[in-house]
Amino acid sequence: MLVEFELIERARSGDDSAFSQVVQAYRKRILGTIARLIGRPEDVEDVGQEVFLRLYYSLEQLRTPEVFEPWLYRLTVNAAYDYLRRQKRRQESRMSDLSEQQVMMADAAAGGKLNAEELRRGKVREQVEALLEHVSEEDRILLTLKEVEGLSLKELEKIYRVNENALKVRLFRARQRVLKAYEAGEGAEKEKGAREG
Amino acid sequence: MDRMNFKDNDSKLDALLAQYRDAIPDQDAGANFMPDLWKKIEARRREGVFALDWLFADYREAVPDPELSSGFMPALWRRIEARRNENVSVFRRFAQVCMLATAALTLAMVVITHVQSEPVYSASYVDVLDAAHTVDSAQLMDSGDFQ
Repeated sequence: MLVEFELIERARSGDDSAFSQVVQAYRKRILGTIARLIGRPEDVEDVGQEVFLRLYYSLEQLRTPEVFEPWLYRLTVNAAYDYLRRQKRRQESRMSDLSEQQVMMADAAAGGKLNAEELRRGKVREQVEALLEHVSEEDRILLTLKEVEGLSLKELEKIYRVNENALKVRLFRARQRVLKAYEAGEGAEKEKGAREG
Repeated sequence: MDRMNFKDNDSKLDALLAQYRDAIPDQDAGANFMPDLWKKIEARRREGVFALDWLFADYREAVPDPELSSGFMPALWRRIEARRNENVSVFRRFAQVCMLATAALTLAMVVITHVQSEPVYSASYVDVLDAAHTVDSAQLMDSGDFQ
């Protein structure tokens, strides 16, 4: 826990300054998680505000401060899921949809402004986001929480409120799909390399 | 002549290939073939799995926790306030609808009461009761039971 239970209790009983302190404590972590869940830096703050907005209006439903973190992650998952669903609908109605980040990267790369490390990071982001396209939005979020955010099955169990075995099966299937896409991508890269070499 | 030579060479090549096949017959795999194969498959799979793990770790590093803008908290409070006002205005609208409905109902009841103010009976309830009682008393007195 990043804050004392007492602070959460105060926020729950309507103390706005306590709520602000809770947001200050968690916002960096939550915004980071959102950044990795949705893959669009320009929308991270907006989704983050939606998470804390939902928190503000649902805090009184929190049974005990002990379950605060899973509760906050649950709100994060739901907001990210809603965002990804909206994005998908928007993408379906548009032919190409590059994020601001991708456009900036492409521009900077064209202008030779990016250093090798930034290029590598950009490539990793692109690769992982392309791989995660092979699973549903729900599985994308679940897999990212497990594999990238490093949450344990026990933590995921509390967030999703389903039993561990069901999560394991779902994670295994999602991971297999991503792995398959990864291997296919690797194979294609090798073929391309062989042809060029 | 050339055609004869070609035919000859063609069949010679066939014969040579047949001899080559005989010289290197089908061979059965050793006892370790399958276990080794599965080991390789597993290693390859693990390589892919590990590579994926590394990739996820790289992704975690490539997308660090973002630096927060100074406008984050003010914007959040604006949104909270806007939602609160929205809720209040919904409640206010609901209260207005309730008040209007109550007023309309009251008006309707006044109208109905006014329309029904014409007397249904020509005599009052007490008059009717009194008349009935008079008849009952006369009957009792006639029968001589009244003491």
